[in-house]
Amino acid sequence: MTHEVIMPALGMAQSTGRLVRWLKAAGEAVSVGEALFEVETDKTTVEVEAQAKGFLAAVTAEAGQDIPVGQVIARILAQAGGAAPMVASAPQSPPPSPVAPVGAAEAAFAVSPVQASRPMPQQVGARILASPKARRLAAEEGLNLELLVQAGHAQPFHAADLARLRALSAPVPDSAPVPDAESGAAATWLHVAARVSRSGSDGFLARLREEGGITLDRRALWLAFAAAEWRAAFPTTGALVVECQQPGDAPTRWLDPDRARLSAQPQAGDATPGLILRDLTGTCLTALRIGADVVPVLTLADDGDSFVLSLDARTAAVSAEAAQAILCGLVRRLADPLPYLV
Amino acid sequence: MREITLSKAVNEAIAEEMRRDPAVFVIGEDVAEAGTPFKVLSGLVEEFGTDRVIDTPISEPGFMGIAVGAAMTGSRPIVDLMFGDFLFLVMDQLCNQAAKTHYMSGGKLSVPLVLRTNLGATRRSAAQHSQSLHALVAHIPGLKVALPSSAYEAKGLMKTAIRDNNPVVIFEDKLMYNDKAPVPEEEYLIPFGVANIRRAGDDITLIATSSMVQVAEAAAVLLAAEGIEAEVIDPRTIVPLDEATILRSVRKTGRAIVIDEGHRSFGVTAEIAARIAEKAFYHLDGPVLRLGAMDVPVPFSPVLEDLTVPTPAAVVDAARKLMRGEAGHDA
Repeated sequence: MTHEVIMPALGMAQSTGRLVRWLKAAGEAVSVGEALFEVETDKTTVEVEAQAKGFLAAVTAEAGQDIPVGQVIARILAQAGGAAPMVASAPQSPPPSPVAPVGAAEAAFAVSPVQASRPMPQQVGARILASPKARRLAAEEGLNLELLVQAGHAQPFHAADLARLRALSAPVPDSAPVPDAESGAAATWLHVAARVSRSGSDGFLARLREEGGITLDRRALWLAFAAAEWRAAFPTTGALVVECQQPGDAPTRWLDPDRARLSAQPQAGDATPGLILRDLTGTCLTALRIGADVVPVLTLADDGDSFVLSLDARTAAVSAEAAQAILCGLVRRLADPLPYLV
Repeated sequence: MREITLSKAVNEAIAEEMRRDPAVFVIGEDVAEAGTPFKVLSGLVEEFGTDRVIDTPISEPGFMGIAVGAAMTGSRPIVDLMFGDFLFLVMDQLCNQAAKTHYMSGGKLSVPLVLRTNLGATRRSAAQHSQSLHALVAHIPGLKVALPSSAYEAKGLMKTAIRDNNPVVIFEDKLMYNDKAPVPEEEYLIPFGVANIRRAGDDITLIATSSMVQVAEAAAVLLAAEGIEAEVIDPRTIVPLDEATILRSVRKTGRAIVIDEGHRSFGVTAEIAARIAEKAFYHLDGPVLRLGAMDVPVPFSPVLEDLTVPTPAAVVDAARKLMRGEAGHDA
């Protein structure tokens, strides 16, 4: 048994009391009615008596401190040095007390000051904080909330966070191991590459410029062709947002670039992209594979007089046949763009 | 459609039912010549006489007991309790007798009785004439409880209550007696246990009773200006409660605030919030919030009194928190 020694309320409107001095030292035997410590209120100094017999321990307040009324400032233990059973009775290991405990045995009882209310919940154990709705939606879609935690998003999660989670999640069940670039790539990833001479598309753009006076951004051509091949491989695709990535630049997103006029600025889309076009032209790189890419990536790079095209995707999202068809179609279009323009 | 006051709507409902059924009579303090302090029953005594519009002394337990006995023996009394606060005086007659007689007599006796009384603060009537005590009677099995939110509901619910073969308590908001609403000339009844969706919305469900329906609707207008679409539901009767409509809405919006003028603790809002949590838990995107009167005696000071009841601003504040995912984090 332990008895808690608290700062007593000695007046109606008293909120704190000043500890003048301890009359017993930690570890010393005390009996009921013995003076334990002195408290100064706004009017008087009062000796406070022990309410239990035993040994003074876990002294967390020292002389001169102002202590909130009701706060535990020490304990009276039934047995001297009875640390072990006391540890078990302590509800949780508290953070270090601002006041240095008197002895090692008492450390377990150091009582932290009343915690200030906090605006946001804190994690208890490993449990992820999420609304019931967010949890249910994630479960229904087979998504793992842990991905949001790993990505550093603030908890608690709500239904609105599901969009982020979908983007983070693979189209394969989340219980499947995510392969890294080396080991698991063959099983769940595909990588298809092709080469096409630059002369076809460069020549086409040059003719447009010289004979038609039309200056076309070559990337508009790539976006349109890539989206068109994608739609041919996946005819059920609705609105298709293609994200264009270029090292050093912020990514841009385009809605249905295959349905926009090439000369017009394509419409920006802000939905989750269905395809990423990674433009490595103008750099020394020919491929850039990022293991966690969830969205299929079509990479375009310079290699002498050629473009190197490659498609990286999860096999669950793009079959090998579809990937080959997309890449071959794209090579045909870039080799001679004119027939493919509507 | 014509618009009439809530007071006139109640008067019409009672007059129509008294013409329809000679067993219906009114009993209470100042109901005859005075037509009640709120003038709700004006003109009834002239049409139906003092045998059917009966003035009593100040004797709530007495006339409540008379009415319960009359109901058991073939009459259909409407008991007029001048203030909802006086419910405490008639608790035994209402809760131990009226609510339980049908059960205790093995179904041989019924108590087709209507207790009409009121609720609502901010009338500067102080702590003993301003309470909203409907949760007290809603707690007692055997009593139905109706909370009209406009003149239309007041008339339709009153007529249904008078025709019900079991005891019904109707609480009118005493601040709404002069509020007008469209009320059809032709007869209509509003069934018990059927909520009314006052406004449709996809973002958040506001469940409000009695005059709090107006508060919720005002809040919904303010929220719409911020792009938050609130659905406002008026249960109309809390016993029976139209759970299905409430749950359907919450499953759609994922968020709910319950607003009622009773004291916040242990009240109607807690009951509705608990049912949502029990039956639509996996559709909730945040905690169900409750707004009610402060847990204090209603102050006489107008400034303080106004602080004790939910306002549109308070509803908007709670709704914003819920939309931002900030609700439910109080330490």
